[in-house]
Amino acid sequence: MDNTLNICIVDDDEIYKFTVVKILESIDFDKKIEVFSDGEEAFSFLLDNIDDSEQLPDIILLDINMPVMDGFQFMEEYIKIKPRVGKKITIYMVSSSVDLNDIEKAKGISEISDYIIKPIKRGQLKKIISGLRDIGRI
Amino acid sequence: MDSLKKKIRRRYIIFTSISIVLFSLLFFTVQRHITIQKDDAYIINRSGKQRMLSQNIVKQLLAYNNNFSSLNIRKRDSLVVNKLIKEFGQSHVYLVDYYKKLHNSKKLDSLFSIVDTNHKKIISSSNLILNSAETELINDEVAKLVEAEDVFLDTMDLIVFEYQYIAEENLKKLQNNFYNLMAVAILLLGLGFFYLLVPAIREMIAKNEALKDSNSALKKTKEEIRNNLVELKRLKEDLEVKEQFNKIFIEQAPPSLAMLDKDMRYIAVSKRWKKDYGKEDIDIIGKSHYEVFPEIGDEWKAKHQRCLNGDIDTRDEAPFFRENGSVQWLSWDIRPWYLEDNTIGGLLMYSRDITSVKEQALAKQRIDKILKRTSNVARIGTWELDMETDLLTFSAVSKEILKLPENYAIHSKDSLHFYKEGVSRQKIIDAIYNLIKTGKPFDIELEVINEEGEEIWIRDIGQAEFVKGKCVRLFGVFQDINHIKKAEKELNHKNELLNFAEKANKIGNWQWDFKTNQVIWSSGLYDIMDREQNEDIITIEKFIDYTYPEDVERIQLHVKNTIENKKFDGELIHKIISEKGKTKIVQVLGKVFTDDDGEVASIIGSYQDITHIKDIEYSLLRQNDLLNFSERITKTGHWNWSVVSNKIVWSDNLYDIMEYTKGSVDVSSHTLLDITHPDDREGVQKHMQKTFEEKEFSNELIHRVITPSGAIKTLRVLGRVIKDENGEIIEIIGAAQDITSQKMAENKFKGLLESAPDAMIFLNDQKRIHLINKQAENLFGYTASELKGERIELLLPERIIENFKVYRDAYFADPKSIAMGDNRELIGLKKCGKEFPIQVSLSPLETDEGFLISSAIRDITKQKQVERNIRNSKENLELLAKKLKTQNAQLADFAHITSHNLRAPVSNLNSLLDMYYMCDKEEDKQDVFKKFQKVITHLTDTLNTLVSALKIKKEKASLSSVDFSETLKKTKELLAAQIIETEAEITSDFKEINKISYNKIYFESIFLNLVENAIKYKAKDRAPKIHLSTKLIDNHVVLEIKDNGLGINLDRHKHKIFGLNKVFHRHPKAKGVGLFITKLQIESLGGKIKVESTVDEGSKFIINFNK
Repeated sequence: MDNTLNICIVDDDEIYKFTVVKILESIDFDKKIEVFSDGEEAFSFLLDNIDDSEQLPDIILLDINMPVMDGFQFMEEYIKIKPRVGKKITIYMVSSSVDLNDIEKAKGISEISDYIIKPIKRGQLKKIISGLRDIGRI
Repeated sequence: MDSLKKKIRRRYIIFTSISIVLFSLLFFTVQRHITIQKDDAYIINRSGKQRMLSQNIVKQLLAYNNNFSSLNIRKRDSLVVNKLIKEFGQSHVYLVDYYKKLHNSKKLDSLFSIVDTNHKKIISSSNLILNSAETELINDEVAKLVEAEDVFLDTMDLIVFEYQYIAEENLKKLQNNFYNLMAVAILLLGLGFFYLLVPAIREMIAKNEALKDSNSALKKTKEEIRNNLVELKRLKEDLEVKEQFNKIFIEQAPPSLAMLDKDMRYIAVSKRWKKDYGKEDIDIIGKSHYEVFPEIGDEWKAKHQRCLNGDIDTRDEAPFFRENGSVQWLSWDIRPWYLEDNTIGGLLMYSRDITSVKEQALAKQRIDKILKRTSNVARIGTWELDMETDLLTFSAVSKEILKLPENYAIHSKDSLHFYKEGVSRQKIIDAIYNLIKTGKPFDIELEVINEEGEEIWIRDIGQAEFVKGKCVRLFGVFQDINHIKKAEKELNHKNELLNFAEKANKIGNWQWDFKTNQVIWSSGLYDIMDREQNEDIITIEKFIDYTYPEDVERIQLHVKNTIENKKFDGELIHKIISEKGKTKIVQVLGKVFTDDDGEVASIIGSYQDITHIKDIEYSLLRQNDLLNFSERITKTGHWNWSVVSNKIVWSDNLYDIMEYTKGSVDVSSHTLLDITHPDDREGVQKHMQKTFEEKEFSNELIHRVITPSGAIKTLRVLGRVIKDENGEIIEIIGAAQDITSQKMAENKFKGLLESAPDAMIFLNDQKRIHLINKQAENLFGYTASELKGERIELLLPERIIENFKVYRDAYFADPKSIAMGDNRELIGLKKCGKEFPIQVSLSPLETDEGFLISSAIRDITKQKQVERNIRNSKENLELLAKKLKTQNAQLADFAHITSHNLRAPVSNLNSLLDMYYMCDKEEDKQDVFKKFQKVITHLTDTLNTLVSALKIKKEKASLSSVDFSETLKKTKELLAAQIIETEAEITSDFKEINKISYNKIYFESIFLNLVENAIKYKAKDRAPKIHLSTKLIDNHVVLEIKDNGLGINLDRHKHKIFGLNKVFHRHPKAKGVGLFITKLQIESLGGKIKVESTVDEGSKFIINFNK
């Protein structure tokens, strides 16, 4: 396996996606970025590539509020197919919601590594990437 | 003792202190006298010396005067003289001083005045001699000196004498003092001896004496104890030996002896004892006397107790009724035996089984009795036959019997004609022949023919007299037993008749001669026993042996009781097994006869074979049992009142009911009244009177009785009278049933009924009121009697009666189908005409009086009121809660909106800002800036939406009449472009409701939003079809807008379908504002909106405008 890190951004907010992509591009590491506008799109992608670890993301930055399928619904579906997914995927919940209900709910899902409140900073993204590098994923 | 000691000690202290004082005094006195003596000696000495000094002075001076020639010597002499004079002067001063101290001698006073003068003269003369050179003067002076010296010497001598005298006086004084003191000391010692030593010694002697006494006493006691021990040991040994001896003695004793301890346990018994009482096989040592002989009665036990207290009980003869029913005749001597300390150790029993002796004695007694009787009553004569002469002589009575003349004599060989030919003659010949040959006396009854030719019965008793083995004489007595024989014959005849009767009735009789223990049976009894009548003696044991084994114990007990009580109680019915092995039931009656001493002499009685009677009885009994059984089950008893004798016969069960033992009371009408409960007595009496008056047992009588145990029972009595031909009552028969429990149940039921909190009304199967309780009376204002038998409708207002009847009939038809306690609310009607709400619960009730419906009725006026109040307040609360809930939801919405919808664009702005600064290239910056514009536009939109939403919430919109068709038309116009583009088909049905009062702007906005949505989210493969309709549901105007569009996945999105910025389709124009605003508008006017939807089929929005 190569050192390319697959990053998947799931959000309906165009501006946000734009900014995150820009930030990631500014950080120096081998990457491949996939962008989805809602949970369902992202989930379809996962299903399509369930056995293709090269296509499957290493990291998912998942928004909560999205049309069609929101972040939590995505997680529900993901947990169902997780055993079949041929790759360890680290998922971050990224939302502008500071609602405690949302935070608690996200914390209650063990597949979610952390809950990040928007705006996501360059430093945070760098830390996530270096964290993964440390444990030998890259 | 202590006080004496103290006294002695005190005396001793006093004595010691006095002695010390005395000896100090003595010592002091002696000391003083020694000093005085010393002083005296010294002064005498000094005085002598003074005298010598004066002589020396004179001599020196004379020598001085004579030795003129040598100056040196003179000078030396003068020095010596001077020295002497000086010493002389000093001594004088001392003497004078000493004397002055004494003051007590006039003699010395005068002497010293002389001495003093001469002393001065000597001194002055001496000085003059020494100092002068004139011989004359000196000689003169010498003369003077010599003269003075003479006087001085004499005086000094006198002084010395005086002093010597004084010294002697002092010595004498000392002697006196010493003697005095010695005397005192001796006196003291003497006193000490008497007051101190003597009592002390005395005490010591006394103590010694006491000690000696106690010592000797101790010694004596020891001796005594030793003696006692020895004695004790000896006694013990003695006792052991004695006891052993006693035991052996008793065991080996030939008579019947028993030794018992205080608890009546055997210590030793003789073999004879065991044998006498048939206890040879049992080891009775250690067992209780009463255990060994359970048949011993209380009377004997009491005797034993008296003996244990020292009495001696002796009895020459007494019957001992053994357990097996036999009688043993005993003589006894019971006395206590004593322990060493004269206390009673137990009893010694000596007894003798004198049964055989007794029997012999009884036999003799019988003979005596016969003799006595015969001699009294019978005519007895004697006869004598001289064997040598063969002459037969008769006594006067004999002659009289035989009607012989006075001087009649006959030879024996001629006398045979007296005896009736046949049996009698043969009998006498045999008897005489036997008598002569063997000497065996005879006693026979013979029929003789007297001289007058009459046949008479005599009893002939003969004996023989032998001399040297040869019969020399026969003699005997004649007894006229004709009348006896006659009576006997008659008796026999009667007996035969009796036997016949007995046989016919299967009756026998028996006579138990108690003293011979023999039972005489009648022939009937022999028949009953299936036994041949013979001479065998039947003992009571033998008699009892016939008893059926099961009954033996009972019979033995009865026999024992009969003997003890001297009364044959009741009738004895038991089974026997006859000789032939047949089991028969016999009824035995008996009567006890006592002798003059009151002891049982005989018992006679009848014996009836009642087997067949018993059989009948048995079947009767069985029927009776059945009757009893059924009576018991029904708690019924029957009675039979024979009016004439006023005797009432109760059945067994009636006895049980009344709790009397059968036979314990003679029941009569008085008894009946006695046991009747006092409150019911009058009623019973009246009933009785009525019965007798009307000669008819009027209907059932219910009354209470008090049983011996105090229980109160209620009886239901039924009866029937039986009249004689004159129509008079002779008997009343009837039955009584214990209906206590029913009555109790009834009372209980009534009690329950009265104590029930609710009004209770019971309806009978005629649907009429059967019973009501107090509460019901109070509730409806009627009395129980007013309502009894009335229809229940009386208690209901007319208008509900029809409804009620349906319900009531349904219930009566099938009471079980309607659950118990099915509370129905009805309206009740009081007697005064007032209506009130009631709650009724019904339940069926199966009673003695038939099928009843019980209804519990409760006045629920108050409940109703309270219920209403509760409902009102509940409604208010619900309303409030709803409002609060809405407000809460709205608040949550706003919180969400601010937390998300506003935060999102702001965070984007922040990110963009960061990026903007990061961008190096101008074009990049331009790019970012465009994004800024986008975000700001979005933000503005959101804020606008919020502002309008807040407006909707805050302001109550003004209302006006709006028209559904009109509004739809207007909406279609607005959406014309989309409708044409999508070929949407919009239909409507506002026939039911077309106009409502609503806010016009909202109304139009709702139409626009919903119709637009229906078009916007159309299915890709088909043209939208939209149908709008109104209808009235529960007084609410409802608008439905149905489409055939994409539909919404409600499982996922239901909770956020009306949320701000919530979108569910990837439609470019989806903003999530339309439904948000629509919902706000509807709710602000108190309405509701909801959605039904199926994905790919379509959605239906339902708006409830709420009035």
